Amino acid sequence: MSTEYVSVMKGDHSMELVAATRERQLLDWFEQAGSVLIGFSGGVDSSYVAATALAALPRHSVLGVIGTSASYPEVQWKRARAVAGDLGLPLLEVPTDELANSQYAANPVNRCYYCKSELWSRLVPIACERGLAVVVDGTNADDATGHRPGRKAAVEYDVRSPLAEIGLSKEEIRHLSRLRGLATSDLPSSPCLASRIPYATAVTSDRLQRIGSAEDALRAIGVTGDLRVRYHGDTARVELEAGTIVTWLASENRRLALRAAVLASGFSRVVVDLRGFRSGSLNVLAGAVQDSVTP
Amino acid sequence: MNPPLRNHGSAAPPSALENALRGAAFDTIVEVTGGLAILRVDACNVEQLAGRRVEVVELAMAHGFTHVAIEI
Repeated sequence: MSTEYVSVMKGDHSMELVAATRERQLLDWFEQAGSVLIGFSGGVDSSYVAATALAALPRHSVLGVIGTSASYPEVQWKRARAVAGDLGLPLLEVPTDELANSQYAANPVNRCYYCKSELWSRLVPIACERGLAVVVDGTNADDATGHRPGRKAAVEYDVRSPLAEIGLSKEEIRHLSRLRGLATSDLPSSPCLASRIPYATAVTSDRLQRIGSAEDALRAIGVTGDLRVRYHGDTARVELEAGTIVTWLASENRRLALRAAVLASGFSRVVVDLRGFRSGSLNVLAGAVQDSVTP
Repeated sequence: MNPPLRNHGSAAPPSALENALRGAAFDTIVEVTGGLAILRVDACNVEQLAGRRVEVVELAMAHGFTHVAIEI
């Protein structure tokens, strides 16, 4: 779409119009691809990719594959299976084992590269075996900015990102998902559990399990919206949505419940971040931590 | 074993933030690990501090801390 065309549409509906045009382009993209294997997580982006692929292609030409690993909580896979069921998406689950790679477990700043390399190294051969023409992921146009070392792995494995290629932003994807009635339209982002561990602090299955367990426990006592339990050794730093911090801290009962939930997961100390949830908040602490634990 | 986080370098010493918070009527003990300032307060003061969290965060950031959290 030309810049001129976009600039003309300054009304309330400009985003909707642009998004609708881009969705048409996306459907064309899938039709030209012919068949696709989707790296599927059940999140906002890959669910929208699946829905549009299924709208453009026969069902037998679309396959969603979940790469299951310890880096994601089980609850995410349950949701992914449910979303796939709702969409009618043929689904395959493939275990991945990035923790076995010492380069990943050492948790360098490009950790995501090793994780995605492991994922695509499992998924690309499946596409070849099944005669699926293109492997795609849910990377969107907003993801093109920021720290995204996982993109390098996608490029190396020739994985395509139709949402990003067409220029669909997260806001547009949420809007189009709502129009399609997708239950995922308003899901908060859910990066892997390793993202809660500061760079250069080893990623271990025990730590991932502790973080996942703490977040599950916090959800169980009623924490809603964006939530992260950040790992600082024996200390868990809890990031809640800013608007809910006072609610959780002002009531002694709630405060104690929050504390107990995290302590039960194996941490010995609980702190609540006063700024609240910030995506990638540990990145600004990069280089400020060290850890001698060998994975 | 989890060794302590190294000092971030650009942040002020904890006593400086403690004094600033005291000046704003927050009686806290500040512990620093990396860029993270952990505030320890009496249970009866948690609500007051949480209610003025924006002010607390601004003070901590002015002292070079990228993260400020309250122990519960």
